[in-house]
Amino acid sequence: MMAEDSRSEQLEYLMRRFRHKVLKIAYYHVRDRYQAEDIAQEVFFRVYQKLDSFRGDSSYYTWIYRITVNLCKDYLRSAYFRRMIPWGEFRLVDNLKQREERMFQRVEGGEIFQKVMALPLKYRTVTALYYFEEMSTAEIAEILHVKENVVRTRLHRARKILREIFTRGEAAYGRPQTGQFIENG
Amino acid sequence: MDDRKLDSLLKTGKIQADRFFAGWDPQLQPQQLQARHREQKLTKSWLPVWKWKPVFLAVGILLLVCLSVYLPDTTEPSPPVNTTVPSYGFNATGYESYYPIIDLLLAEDFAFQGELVLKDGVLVGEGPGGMVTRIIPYQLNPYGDLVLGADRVLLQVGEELLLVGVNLPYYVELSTGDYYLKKINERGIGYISETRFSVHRPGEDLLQLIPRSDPAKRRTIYVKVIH
Repeated sequence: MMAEDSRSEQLEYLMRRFRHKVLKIAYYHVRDRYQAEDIAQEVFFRVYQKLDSFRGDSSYYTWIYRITVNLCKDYLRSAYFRRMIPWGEFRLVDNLKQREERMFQRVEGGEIFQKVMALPLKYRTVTALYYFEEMSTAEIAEILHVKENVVRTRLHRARKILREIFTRGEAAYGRPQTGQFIENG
Repeated sequence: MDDRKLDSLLKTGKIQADRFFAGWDPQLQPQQLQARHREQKLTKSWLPVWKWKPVFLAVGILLLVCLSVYLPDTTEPSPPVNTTVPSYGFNATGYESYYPIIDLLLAEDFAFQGELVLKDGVLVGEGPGGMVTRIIPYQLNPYGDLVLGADRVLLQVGEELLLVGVNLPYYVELSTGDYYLKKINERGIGYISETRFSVHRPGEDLLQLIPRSDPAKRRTIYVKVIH
């Protein structure tokens, strides 16, 4: 059993070291900044609770990110989350609109980022982790708890979807505007 | 679009992501977590449940023994118990189907209150007020072809038809004969669009979905309305 001071120091270190990545992983799952912050708090609470039992079978890195992914999955399955998108009377769309506004309120010229974030869950997480966080497919597989070839397949499909979306963007808005994506980026 | 172009766009996406997250730096408080941990520890130590388990078990056994001694022996069957199981809160996200487009719709974090069943590619939802809505999701696949949950649907007068475009909301136009099917609402936000139709008289109608990029790839949903 670790002394309390040592545990506190360790928690602070882990929070300093991993909080940004934890927040990002949570955001890629739930696409809501406030919810991602709540999840990050919960992640480090769990970490603090289990510091004694952490056996070092995996790295802190993997251990913490796995906790993050599990909590995100729990949240997406939760009754609370389901209530947030109610049925009928188009409240569903209104609610989504509010959430989208919260989601993207700080995006500046982030059309491509938004398009990746608009992908279905299983594609957007692998795409964001691979291209935005520059994780390897093996690392992604480990923290998402799937096989590496599943990650590769999802990346491949995500690329196909994105290619199609971007191509449509070109067709709809003309090539100069697609160039503008890059300039704005 | 070739791979290099896509890679270049994704690199731009990374820059945008970095910029987005750079402006977001919430301060997580370790002290709060430690305080919460201490609080929880205190609660747990007050009631160490595992210590009480044998006591609960013993009381339970004693109660069972007492009941078996004092309850009169009766051979009369118990009256049937009329239970109403509330059907709300169906977790659609856990629904398994063989229709990829419906899987995709559900993967988009959709959830429904009320009963929901899948019939021939059409999701049939019954809301709390008894209103029946038949839901057909659609999507454009990477080749620009329309993928529909179903290409025919049978409705009863008074029911509603809801078309849900997944991921590509603004690329498909919907067109009807406007006689049997009346568009009552249309909204789109982000990656989802919804178009709701009501039906007031029996008959048949054709609902056309026309991709704006290639109108020749239109698809038709045959709608039959009965009393």
